[in-house]
Amino acid sequence: MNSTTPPLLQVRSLSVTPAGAHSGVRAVDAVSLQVQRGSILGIAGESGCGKTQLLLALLGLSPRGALVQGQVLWQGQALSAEGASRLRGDRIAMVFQDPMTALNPYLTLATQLCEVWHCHRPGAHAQANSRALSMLQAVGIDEPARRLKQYPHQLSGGQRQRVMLAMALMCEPDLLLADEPTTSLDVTVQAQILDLLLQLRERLGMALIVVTHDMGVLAQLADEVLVMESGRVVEHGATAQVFGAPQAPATQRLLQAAQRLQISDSPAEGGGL
Amino acid sequence: MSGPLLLEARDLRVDYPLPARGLRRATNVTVLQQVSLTLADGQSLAVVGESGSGKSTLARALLRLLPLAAGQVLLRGEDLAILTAAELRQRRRDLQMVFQDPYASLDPAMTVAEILSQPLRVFAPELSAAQRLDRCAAALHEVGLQPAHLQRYAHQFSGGQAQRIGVARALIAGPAVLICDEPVSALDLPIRLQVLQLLAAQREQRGLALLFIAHDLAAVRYLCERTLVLFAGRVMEQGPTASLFAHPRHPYTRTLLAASLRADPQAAKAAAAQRRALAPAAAVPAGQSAVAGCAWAPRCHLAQAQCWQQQPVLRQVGDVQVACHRAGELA
Repeated sequence: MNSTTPPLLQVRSLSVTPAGAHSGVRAVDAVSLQVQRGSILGIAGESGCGKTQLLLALLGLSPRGALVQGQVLWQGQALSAEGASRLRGDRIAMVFQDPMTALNPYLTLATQLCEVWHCHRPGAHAQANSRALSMLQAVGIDEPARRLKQYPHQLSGGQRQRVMLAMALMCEPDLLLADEPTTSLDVTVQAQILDLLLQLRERLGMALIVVTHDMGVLAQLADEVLVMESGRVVEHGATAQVFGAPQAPATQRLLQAAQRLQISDSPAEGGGL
Repeated sequence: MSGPLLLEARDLRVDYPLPARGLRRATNVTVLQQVSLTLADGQSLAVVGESGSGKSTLARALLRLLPLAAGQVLLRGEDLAILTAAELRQRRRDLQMVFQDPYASLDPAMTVAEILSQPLRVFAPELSAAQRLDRCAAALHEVGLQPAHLQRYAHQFSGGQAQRIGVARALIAGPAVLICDEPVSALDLPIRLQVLQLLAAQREQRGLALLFIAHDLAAVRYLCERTLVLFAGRVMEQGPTASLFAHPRHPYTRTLLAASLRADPQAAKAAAAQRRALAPAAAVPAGQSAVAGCAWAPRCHLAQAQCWQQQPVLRQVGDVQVACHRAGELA
C-alpha cells in the first residue's frame, strides 16, 4: 500500500463514558486502531468488554448522554457528528447481531432495502428496485424477485441475516461493521455467511470490522485481531501472531475456550473438557 | 445389565397440523419420522442437526409435551402415552429439561428461591418451607452460585448464571435423565465452556443420563459417548461420537463437521476448502424433488439418480448406522 494514502479509518484514543457512569467508568477506554482499504479487522472480547460500544461510537450512535472523546479520521479527515451521519449506511454500513429485531416486521424487504437507497441516492429513485434485486442475488438469496415482496417472518434466520447484509451493501460501502454477525445462526449457516463475507471483500474491495466473542470466527476472517477487556485494548496484532503466541490473559482465555470447543482435525487429542 | 432400559424411543413420528388457508385444505406436516433411540443409566447421547431438523420436537416428544403420531416412548419400560396426567407428573421427576434461552424459561416475576422451590413442591411435598430453602441453597451451591442469590430475580443474572439456575432447577428433584435443548447456544464461548463443564461434573457425580441437543458437533465432543445426527426429521447417522468425528459416513455429518469453526487460521482455511468440496456439484436435476428420495439429496455433492428416487434406510456400516445409499463408497 502506498504510504502516502491515509488509512480508510483511523481511530485515535477513543473513549466512551456512559451517562451516569460511576466515577467516570469508561465503556471504551482510549482505543486506537486503523483499518486499511479491503482489510479485515477482528475485535474480540467477552460480553461487557465494550466491543459493541466501540462500534456504535465509530458510527456516531453512542447512547444519549454518553461522553465520547478522541478522534475518528475517515480517509485522513476528522469525522464530525454530521459527517458520521452522512457516511452511515452509505460509505460505512453495519450489520447487527439479531436480524429479527433489526428488520422491521411490518415492512416488505423491498421497502426496507430501497429505503437505504432513497436516503443516500435521492436522485436515483428508479434504480432502487433493481439495486435491491441485485444485492439480494449477491448475498445468495434464491428467487430474489419473489423475496422482495415478502416480510421478514417469511424468511429463515440465515436468510434474514443475508437480507441484513444486502441492506448494508446497497450503497457498496467502503467499510462494513459487523457485530456478532453469525452468533444467532446454525453452524452450517454460519459457515455460509462467513464464506460469503470473504467473497464480498474480494469482489467489492470492502473493508470489514468484525466484532465477536468467538475466536473461531476471527481465525477464518480476520487479517488482524484486536482483543478488548474492560474497555481497553489488551492485545493487537496480525491474526497468525495473536493465535500463535497470545500474550494477554484475556486473549488466552478466549482462545482456550475456542480451542476446547472446536472440532479437532488432529485425532488422539482427547483430554475432556 | 438387569432391569428395563432407562429411556427408549421406538419409531417416533410427530405431525404438526397445518391449518386450512385460502384454497389449501387442512393437512399435517411430518416433522419427525422413524426416530428410535435408547439411553441407559449414566449414558449420554447427543442429538445434532440444523434448525428445523426436528431436534427440539424430539425432546418434546420424549417428555410427552406434544402428541405422537406413531411410536412409543418407554421410561424404565413403561409407556408414557398410557399414563394419566397425575402419573405422568410423577414420572417427570426422572425426566427433567434444561431449555435454550435461560431468560425465557425462568419466570421473571419469581425469585430464584421460588423458581427452585417449584419442583420440590411437586415432587417432595413432605418438605417444610425451611427444608425447601435449604435444598434450594444446596442446589445453587452445586452449580457454583451463592445462597445470597436466592432472593434475586432472573434479570439480575448474566446469561451464564441464569443458565446455571436453569440447570439447578432441573437437577433439584434428582432426575435420572436430563434433556438439554441447546443449553449453551445462547452463551459466549468462555461461559459456554463453563456450563458444559458443569454438566459434565454433575453427570459424573450423579450418574445422570444426558440427552444433549445441539446444532454444533463441536459442543458435544467431550460430553456425549454417542451421537445421533438428524436432518429433516430423520436419523441420518448414529453411533459412537469418536467414530462419527474420525470417520463421518454420511455426507451431512461431513458437512456439519466442515462447518464447525476452528480456533486456528490454518485449520480454518482447510475447513473452508472442505466446504467447497462438499458443495453440491450441480443444480437440482429437472423434475426431481426430495419428496420421494433422500432429504439431503438437494444439498449433497454425491447425489445420484437413486438418491432422488429412493429413501435410504438406516444400515450398519462399521460401528455406526447410516442412512445413505453411497455411505459404503465413502472412505
